[in-house]
Amino acid sequence: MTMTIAEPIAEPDTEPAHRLRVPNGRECAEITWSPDDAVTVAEATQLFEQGLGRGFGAYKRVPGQPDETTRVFDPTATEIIMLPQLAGG
Amino acid sequence: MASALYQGFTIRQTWLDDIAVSTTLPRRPVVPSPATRPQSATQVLRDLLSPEDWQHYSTQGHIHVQGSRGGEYKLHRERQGNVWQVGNASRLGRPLCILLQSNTAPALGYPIELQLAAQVLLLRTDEQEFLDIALPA
Repeated sequence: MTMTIAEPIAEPDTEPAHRLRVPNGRECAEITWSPDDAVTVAEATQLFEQGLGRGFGAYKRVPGQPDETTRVFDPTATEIIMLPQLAGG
Repeated sequence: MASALYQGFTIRQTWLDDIAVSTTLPRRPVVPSPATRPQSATQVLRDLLSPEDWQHYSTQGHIHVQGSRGGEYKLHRERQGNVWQVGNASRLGRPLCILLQSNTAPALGYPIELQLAAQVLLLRTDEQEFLDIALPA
């Protein structure tokens, strides 16, 4: 009887998706990207820049770090939320 | 809906006509838009808060936020004049009004949770900017 030691099963890539959300309440544009995938980064960057062009503010979120405002798309951000600007009312 | 998951990469939202992404890049799955989730603004706010803070908001109707410069604020679930500075005697009793804007003017049509989310994020990231923008109610 021959025993074979199984190869260790590779851990799946569990890195959470990086996400850009542009909500307005009724609907929400949402896109994910992988920092290693230039195509998805380009897609997310395009949506990000269109949001800026619309006058939205962008907030970069990384777990364990304070939230930051940003004007530049950062592919390493875990999440970016874009919202309409605030005004005194 | 599978077809919604694998649409060609085109995002077109009626509320954001010019935030449209049309590209010749290869087709790939697109994250389903929460357009089918009516509470997307609520979900964004919830994601910004700790479970305890969300529970507090759900039951008490207000949020405590610490600004980036250390100020303490209480945000009520109200449209206007909903921001109160905590522990600032000079401003106590004088709420601040700061609203989401549309076409450079303050707008009242957004879901209140979206306004609260924007207030939370701006306080956390640039408290001074928040105070510069806000007006006494």
